[in-house]
Order: sequence, then C-alpha cells, then structure tokens
Amino acid sequence: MIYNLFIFSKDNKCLYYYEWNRPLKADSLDYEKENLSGLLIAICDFVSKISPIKPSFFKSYSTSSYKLHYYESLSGFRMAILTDPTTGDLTDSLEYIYGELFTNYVMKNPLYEIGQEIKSQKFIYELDLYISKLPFFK
Amino acid sequence: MVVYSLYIINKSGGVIYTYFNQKASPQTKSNANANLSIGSVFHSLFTMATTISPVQNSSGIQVLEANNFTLHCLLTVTGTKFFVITDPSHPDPQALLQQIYELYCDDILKNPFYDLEQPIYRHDKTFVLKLQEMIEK
Repeated sequence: MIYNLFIFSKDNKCLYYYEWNRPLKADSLDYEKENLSGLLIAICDFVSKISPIKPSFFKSYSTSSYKLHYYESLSGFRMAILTDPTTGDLTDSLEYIYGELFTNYVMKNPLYEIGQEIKSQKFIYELDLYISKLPFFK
Repeated sequence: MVVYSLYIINKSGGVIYTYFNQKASPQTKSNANANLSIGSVFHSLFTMATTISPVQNSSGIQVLEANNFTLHCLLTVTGTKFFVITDPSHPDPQALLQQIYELYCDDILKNPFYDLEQPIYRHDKTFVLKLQEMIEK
C-alpha cells in the first residue's frame, strides 16, 4: 500500500506532496515536511560514513509499520515514497517518476521556475495515474 | 554473507561497544571518536523515523538498505540497541542479532563487575572471542 510522496529541491524545499491511502493524518504538514527533509539529509550523511565499501547511497529504510523509499537525482532533486513495510524495491518506479514524469512535465515546462512548488496539472494527473496503477497501490 | 561491523548503543545513545570485521574490510580504521558520533547519530535517526510515520505506533528504524550494504537493528526491552552492518546477501541478520544479544546478557550483564550503561572492556576475552567466532564464521 502506498501512503504518500514527497519531492524536495536541492535547497531542501518541499516542491510537491501528495497522499493516497494514508491512515494517520499529519498534525502539521509543514512541520512533517521539514522533519523529513532533515532526516533524509542526516541519513544520507550517515550512510556515507558507515559504508564499508565506497561509494554507497541510501535506498530505503523500514520500521514496523512503514517503509521509506528514497531516490536522489544527479541534479539534486530528492524524492521519498512511504509505503507499507511489505513492499519490495521501488527504485525503478522512482526512476520512472523522475526520468519520465518529472523531467517531461515539470523541467521541460517553460512556465516552471526552478525551486517553485509544482502546480503543473499534467504532472499531477500523470503521477496519480502511474501510482494508482502500481500492483501494490492498495 | 559477510558481516562488516557491529555497534552496541546504550539507552541514552552512547556507544558501549563496536566491533569491526578486519577480514571483510581491512581498510576500515576504527576511529573511536567517529564511532561514538555514528552511534549517537543512529540513535537520533531511529527516534526521528517514528515522528514522520503515516501510521500510528511505529517503531524506529529496523532495516536500512543502501546499494552495497544493509543495516539491521535490534531494540531490546531495556532500550539497548544492537546494530550490524552486513552484505545485502546475508541470510538472517536478525537471528545473528538475537544471538549477540544472548551472548551480551550471559557474558556482560551477568558479570558482577560490569557497571550498567558503561563501555564494555576490550579485555573481556571470553565475550570478544565468542563474538568474533559468531561474526566471522
């Protein structure tokens, strides 16, 4: 089951947030976005420090009730999807969202200013369509 | 199948023991200060992970995956954390953690000269030898 998705820019601003089957609503969404952004920076730094073989990058972590999948593009955009803990590897889906949807409908949009929140209807529509078609969506 | 390292963290986030498998990664130098900070950082990441949970009553980080290693964590009822860094192909790191926990209870906690929450002495030969055998087999 897919709970929610975050996209962060290079300077740690949340560009896009959407939730699907989230059971527990957030008390304060702004607070949660900042918290997650900080957590991801700390985890990436931690992973590069403890890694026995270099280079290494962070992929996912899981707790008893959710799993966080992470993808970072070379240009510094960072994406996180939260799912239930039984979901397998989501790297391919995240790569598709970045490579096909984000670059085509956001970065190639001449009206989009880098660092602003994503309001492109086409992107939002295509992303929702793609996510809801995934086999482990429900 | 390789286990790279083991950390034991007390309930307040202090590192009480670290073990590095020299056979698996001889280039890793054990730097006491760096190890202390790694343990404490993990302690806080563990807690932060519960605050962003979309589901009620989440535990902390149990498994962390990177492209070339995985980290498995065991939180005991007394708050002590054990975590091992292994190769992604390791069959059952949770069982290994459980064995290490049992060894810790038998050889460290039952020792009347051991002060709770304090670092484990390196000259505790029986513990170190048994641990080495467990990790490097």
